[in-house]
Amino acid sequence: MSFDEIVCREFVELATDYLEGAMPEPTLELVEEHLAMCDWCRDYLHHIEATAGAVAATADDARFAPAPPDSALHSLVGAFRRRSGGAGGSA
Amino acid sequence: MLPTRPPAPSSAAHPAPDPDAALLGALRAGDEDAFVTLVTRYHPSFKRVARAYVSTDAVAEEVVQETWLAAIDGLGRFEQRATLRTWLFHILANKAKTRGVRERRSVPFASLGGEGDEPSVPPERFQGDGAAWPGHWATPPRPWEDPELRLQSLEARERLRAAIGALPETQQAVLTLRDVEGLEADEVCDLLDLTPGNQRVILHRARARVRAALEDYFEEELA
Amino acid sequence: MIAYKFLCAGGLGPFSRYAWPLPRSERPGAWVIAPGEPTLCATAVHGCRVADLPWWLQDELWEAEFDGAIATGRHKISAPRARLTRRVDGWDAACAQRFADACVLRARDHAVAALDRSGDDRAAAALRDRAATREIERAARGIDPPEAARIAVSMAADAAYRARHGHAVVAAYIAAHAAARVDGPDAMAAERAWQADWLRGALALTA
Repeated sequence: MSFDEIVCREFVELATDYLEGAMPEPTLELVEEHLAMCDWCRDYLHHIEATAGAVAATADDARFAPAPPDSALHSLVGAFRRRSGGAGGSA
Repeated sequence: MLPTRPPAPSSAAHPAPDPDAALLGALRAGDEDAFVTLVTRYHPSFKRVARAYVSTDAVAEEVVQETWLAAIDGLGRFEQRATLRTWLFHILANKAKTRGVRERRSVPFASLGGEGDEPSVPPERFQGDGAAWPGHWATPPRPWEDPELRLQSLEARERLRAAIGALPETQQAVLTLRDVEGLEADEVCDLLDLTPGNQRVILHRARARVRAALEDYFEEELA
Repeated sequence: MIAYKFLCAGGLGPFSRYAWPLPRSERPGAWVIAPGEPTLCATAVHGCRVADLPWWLQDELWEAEFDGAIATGRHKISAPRARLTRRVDGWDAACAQRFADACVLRARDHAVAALDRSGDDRAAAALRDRAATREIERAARGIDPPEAARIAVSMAADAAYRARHGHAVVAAYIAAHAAARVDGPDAMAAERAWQADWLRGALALTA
């Protein structure tokens, strides 16, 4: 027997669409009905949100930042200096 | 409680202020420190996006280098119709695509990066057809208490880094642009020649994989 | 039109987290106006008719006035604007628990019907005798039912488990599915109607 509803296995594929506000109306209605009663899928949604937030926080994490190779950087600074007509800076 | 549905994407009539506006001023004045800051700041994201188009890390480094040289060259002509960041990513994407084509590597985004049908959660986490609740969680997710705080630990950040690094390159690129760089969906579609639907699928798969890695981490903590 | 709205504790929209303006000194709360096309889920104010209530149970139940062109969804109404008129005080955690327990009894009845039909009179009698939620759960888990009744019995246990943990909305969902499992798809609608009636009576709802 199948019913006109969205179940958890389907919802997990739609979590990002939901967070993006990019869901057609009929689907959104079914999703909201499901979320109203499924605390587990609400937890999954929070997981996805937390994950996106954690990924965003890596922007501030120097450990995530492979630095440009010294020689490459040096060469770029040289090019920048030449283009700028040799104006200020300590590099 | 459910997350807030986000507001509709901002229209072109009200563009977000350029987060790099101050840096741009310094760059135009020839400030080399500002330039080094800029290059260092964008290097990881540039690498990840470039790597989605080309065959090796080394080639990705070359693409990034070419991007900066082109940016230096074009800085005087940059009219600020877009943000500095968007402008830079456009240069990068063009360089990367060109290099990818030269390498005769098929454009990765045309086929969703070729990952095929990838369920966000392994099917065994859900009840099967003979069960009382087919399609409902069999092993439901546990609520994460204080995720922001707990994800700051060294171990968590290392696991996160590893999880992102393990993603297919196309997923890394979209995840980087959307969640690390905070670009809007339509900007990313424009940069990477993706339809909105494709972009969302790739983003979702990336987030789902990273979520799974973080869930493993949290579950281990509990054990 | 007058209808209802469930909000999370503190008067917050369950999906929007919007803090609804609350009625004060007999005066309705301020009008809340949706920003766009009222027929679209994302940009309309939602409400429940009595028949819709069982799908949306939350901490607080409010009576609300909905104004403008009202659109009807599957189990909700949408309007361009609405304002809260009064709190339905009868809806609290205790009432939610009574409702959940009532749904468990219904799920039990459906399981008993399935056991009767499958010929397991002993198990049917054992389960029929249980009235307390905890005992229904224990009894249902303890039965080794014939295959034809297996899922209905499992559902009764699930309903009881969820009700014990305060998840009234889930207990209601389970009872509706249990009805359909035993008596076919039309029974689901009838079960939901029974649930709505229970709420109407318990809360003296007139809208």
